Amino acid sequence: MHDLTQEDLAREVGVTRQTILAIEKGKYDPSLELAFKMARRFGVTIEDLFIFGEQTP
Amino acid sequence: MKQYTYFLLLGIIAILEAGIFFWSVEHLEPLIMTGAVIIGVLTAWISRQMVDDVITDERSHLITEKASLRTLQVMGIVLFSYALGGVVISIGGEVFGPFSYQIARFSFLLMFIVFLMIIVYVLFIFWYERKFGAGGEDEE
Repeated sequence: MHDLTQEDLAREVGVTRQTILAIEKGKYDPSLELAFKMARRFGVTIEDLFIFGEQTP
Repeated sequence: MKQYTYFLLLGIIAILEAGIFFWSVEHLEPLIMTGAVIIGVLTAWISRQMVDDVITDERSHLITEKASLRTLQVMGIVLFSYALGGVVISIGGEVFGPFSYQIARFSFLLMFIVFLMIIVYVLFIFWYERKFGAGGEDEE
């Protein structure tokens, strides 16, 4: 839809491609700052981009 | 500087350090080796600042933090238990298995290093408590 590679997105938000990959796989929760940067990049809100799932202890 | 160039430079520094190490051993020059390590680390650090690509980010910092903490915990326990065993032998003044009295005395130094490590750790805890605002009075 946005015609964007992981590499491009990573460069634009200032992280490594591995971090974008980890977020996509759900292995890493981004910081609030990074979440805002990503949401701003796609022109959506954080809630549109991420779903909050409470982790059971 | 490209990331590839940076890693290439790191490799060259490592090879140079290894070469200086063997030279230092042969010529018994410990100060040259110590200086070479400091210069090598500084060179690597300066080179890293010149890299345009993103090498480290918040995820790599998190990984480093967790790995460092676990290393500290594991090594702290291992070194402390080893040192304590050595101190017991040392105070007893007996030969115990492969340990001689003189070797066991080294454990006092090791114990001191472990305590120093704990003190540095606690100081950093205080430092970061202040930095991230956990200390001080609550605002009403």
